[in-house]
Amino acid sequence: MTVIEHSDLAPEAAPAVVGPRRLLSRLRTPQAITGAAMLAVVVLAGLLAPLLAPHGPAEVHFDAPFQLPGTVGFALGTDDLGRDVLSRMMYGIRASLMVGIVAVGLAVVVGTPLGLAAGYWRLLDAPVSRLTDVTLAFPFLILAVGLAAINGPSLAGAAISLGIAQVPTMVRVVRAETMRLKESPFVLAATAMDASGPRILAQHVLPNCLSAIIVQATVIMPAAVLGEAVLSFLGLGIQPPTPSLGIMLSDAQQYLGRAPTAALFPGLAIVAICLGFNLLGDALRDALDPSTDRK
Amino acid sequence: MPQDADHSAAPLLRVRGLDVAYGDTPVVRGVDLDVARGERVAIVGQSGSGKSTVIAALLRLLPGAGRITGGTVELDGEDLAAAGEARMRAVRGGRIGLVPQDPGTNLNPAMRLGDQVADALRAGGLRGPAVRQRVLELLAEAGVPEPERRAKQFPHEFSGGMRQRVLIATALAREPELLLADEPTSALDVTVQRRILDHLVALAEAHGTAMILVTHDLGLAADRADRVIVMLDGRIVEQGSPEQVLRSPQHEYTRRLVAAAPAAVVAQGEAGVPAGRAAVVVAPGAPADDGAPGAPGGDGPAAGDVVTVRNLVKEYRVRGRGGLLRAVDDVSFSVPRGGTTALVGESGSGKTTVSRILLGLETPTSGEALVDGKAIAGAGRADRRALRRRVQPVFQDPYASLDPTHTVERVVDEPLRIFGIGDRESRRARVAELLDQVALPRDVAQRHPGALSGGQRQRVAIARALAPAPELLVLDEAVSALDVLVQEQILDLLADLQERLGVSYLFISHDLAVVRGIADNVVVLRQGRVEEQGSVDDVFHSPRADYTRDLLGAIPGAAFAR
Repeated sequence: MTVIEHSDLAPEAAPAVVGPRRLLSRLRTPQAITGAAMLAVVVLAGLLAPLLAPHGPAEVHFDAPFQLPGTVGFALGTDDLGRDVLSRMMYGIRASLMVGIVAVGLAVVVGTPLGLAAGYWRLLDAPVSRLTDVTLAFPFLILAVGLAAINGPSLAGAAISLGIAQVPTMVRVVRAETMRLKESPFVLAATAMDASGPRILAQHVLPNCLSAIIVQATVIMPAAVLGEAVLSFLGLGIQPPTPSLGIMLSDAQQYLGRAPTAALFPGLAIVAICLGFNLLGDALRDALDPSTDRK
Repeated sequence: MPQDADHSAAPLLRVRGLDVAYGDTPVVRGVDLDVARGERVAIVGQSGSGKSTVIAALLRLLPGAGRITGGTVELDGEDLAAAGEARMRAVRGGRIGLVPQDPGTNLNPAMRLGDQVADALRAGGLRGPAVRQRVLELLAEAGVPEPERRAKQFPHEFSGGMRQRVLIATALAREPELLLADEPTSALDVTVQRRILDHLVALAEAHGTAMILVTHDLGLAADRADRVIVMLDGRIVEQGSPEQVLRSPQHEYTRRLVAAAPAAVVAQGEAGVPAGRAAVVVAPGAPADDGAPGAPGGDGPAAGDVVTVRNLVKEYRVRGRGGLLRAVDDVSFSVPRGGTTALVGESGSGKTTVSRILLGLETPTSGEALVDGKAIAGAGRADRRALRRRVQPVFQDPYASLDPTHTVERVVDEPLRIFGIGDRESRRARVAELLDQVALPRDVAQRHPGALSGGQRQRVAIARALAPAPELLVLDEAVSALDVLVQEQILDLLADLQERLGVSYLFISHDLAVVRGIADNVVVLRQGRVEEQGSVDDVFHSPRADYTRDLLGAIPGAAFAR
C-alpha cells in the first residue's frame, strides 16, 4: 500500500559509531602517524631488548666510563661504571612500559566497574564518588612512600601506587559516560523491555563507554611512565642495578657535568613515550568521536 | 518560472551557478537565486537537500571542509564569493542578518541577554549609552515583554520562544537589508512557532527587509513567502508562487512533497486534485485501511480497551523552590483494542510522562494506568515482566534509540533474548520475518544502525518493538524527527501493521496534522490536563476547547487548506 517504497533506503548521515576499518582510515592523520611511529620505535626497542641490546643492562666496563655517544661498541656512550647507555635504555623502557601497563590495567579493572555502578545506581553514587574524592586528596607520592615502607621499594609497588592514583580519573570518566548513556533512548527502550541493570550495563553502556575508556588509558599511560621515573628517581621504585629510565636519570645527575648525554637519552625516551601516547590519544579521541565527522 | 525580471531595479541578492562542496562531495549544484528588496523567499527541502548549506555559503560560514567551488553571490552587485574575510565581517550582521535554528544553543549561557544583543550593536560601531537604549528598543520590538528587566536575565531564564525573539532582535540589530532565517522555529512548539513567525514576518515587512526562510515544512513556507523554492539533492527543482507550487506542482518531487504535507492534504482532497495518498489519509476515522472493506482491522472496540488510564497524577519535586510540579494532572483516557489513541500537546504538556508511566519507567503519584487491567507500576517482578512484554516503545529519535554498537539483528532480537523467547535458530527466523514486516531488506540484519538512514532506523525500532508480539506500541513522537516523505511512509507502515497484526497504538505527538491520519481518538493535553478528547472527526471538525482551535490554526499551511 505504500506508494513510495524504500525511497528512504539511501544511506545518509555519518555513522554514529566508528567501526574498526573506518577507524583506521580516520587515523591517517599526521598527528596519529607521528605518535604511532614514536611508540612503535620505543615499544619495539623495549620488547626486543634481549635480542638487540649490544650489552647486558648491568654489564660494567670499568675501563671505559664516560664514553661519548658514537664510541665504537657504545653507540650512545657509557655511564660512570662504563655501562652501555643504549642497552640500559632498552631494558629501562621495558620496566617503564611494564609499570605503565600495570597502572593502566589497574585503573581500568578497578575504575570501570566502580564508574559503571556509580553512574547507573543512584544509591551507589555518593559512596563511590566520595571514595574517589578521598583518593584524589592523597598525592600518589604519599601512597608510594607508604607502600615502599611496607613492602620495600619495588616495580610492583610503584605500579600499584600509580595505578591506584589513576583510578579516580577513570571512575569519573566512566561514571559521566554512564550517566549520559543511562538517559539515552536505547537504554530506556531496553528498560521498557524489562532488561535488568547488569544486562543494560554489560550490553549497552559498557560497549558505548569503550572509546572513552581507551582514550583515558592513553592519558594514564604517559602519566604512569612519568610517575615511574619520579619514583625511581627518588629511590621508591625499581631498585638498581635493574635499569629503568628514572634510575638512569637519577644516576646521571651525579655526573651531569662530565657526561650530560647519559641523562639526555633516557630523558628523550620518556619524552618519546609521553608524546607518542598523547598524540595517539588525541588522534584516537578525534577519530572515535562521531561529532567531529564532517561529511 | 523565474520572475526576477519584473522588478525595475537589479535584485538585492543575485546568486548564479552556486556550487558548494564538502571535501570532494558536491552538496549544492548550480543554484540560481534572486531576491528582490523586501521580498520573502522560502527554500524548502528535506534534510540533506543543501538548503542550509546555501545559507551558510551566502554568509561564507561553511563548516569544516566546505567551500564554494563555483558561481557568484552578488549582493548589490558585489561578489561575496570572492570577497575577503574583512569585507565579509562587515557584510555579516551589517547587511545580512541571520536567525539561526536552535535558540537553545545559539545564545551564550553565561552572558546576559541584553549584552548579547549589545554585542551585535557594538560590532556595528555603536558606542555609549545609545547602545543600551537601542537594545531595549530592539527587545521590545521583537516582542520581549518588560525589556528592561529581561535584558539583565540569562538565557536559561527564558523559554525557547523568548530566546528565539532575542535572536531575532540580534539579527535585526543593525538593520540588515537581507535576513536569513534557517529553520527559525522548527525547535519550538507549534503555537509558539506561529506567533514567532508572524512576528518575524511583520518585522521584516515593517523594515522593508528581504528575507530567505529555510524550512522543511512546505505548508509553513507557503503561508509566509512570496516565492517558494524547492530543493532536492543540492539543486533547485522548482520555484514559483506558493499558489503555483502547492496547487499545481510541476516536479515529481514537489508533487510527493505536497501530497505528504499533512495539512495540505486536506486542501488537496477537497480541491479534487488527483493524489492517491490524500484520499487514504483523509478517510475519516479509520486508520487508513486502504479501502479494503473486508479487513476492518479490528477497528471496533468489541474486545474492549487495551489501556485504561484513570485520574492519573504525577508530581515532581522542583529542586530549590520546595514546590511540586504537577506534570500530569488528573488525566483519564483509553486506547481501544486494535485502535489508536493520540496524545497531543506541546512541550510540558505531560504527554511523555504519561507514556513513561505506561511503560513502567515512572511511577504515578496517584491514579492508575492499566494495561489489560493491570498496572506496571507496583507490580511484582513476574507480573511486570509479563506486562512489559505486552507494551513496547518506539521513541522519537531514530539516531539515539538504537544502540550504535549492536547489529540490527542484535537490536531486533534483544527483547526476544530478554524475555527468553525461542532459541537461536527461531530467533533468527523471527528477525527475518520482522524485517519483512517493516519492509526492510533482510541483509540489513548484519549491518549497524549507523549505516542506515533515519527512516530505516525507525523501521528497525518498530521491528524491535514488534518482536515480542506486544498488544500495544507506545509511539512517542515516533515520526517527528523524520523528513516529511519518510514520515508519510512510516505512518503508512504503522497503519498497515495495525491492520495486519491488530496491535493498538498510543500515538504521542505535538503535531495535530500528523495525528489526523493515524488516530481514532485524540486526547489534547495542556500543562498536564486534558483540554479535550474525542474522536478524530469531532476534535478536528468541531473542537470545543479554545486551545484545540489554537493548535488547529497553528498547523502550517492551514490557510491553504481552506
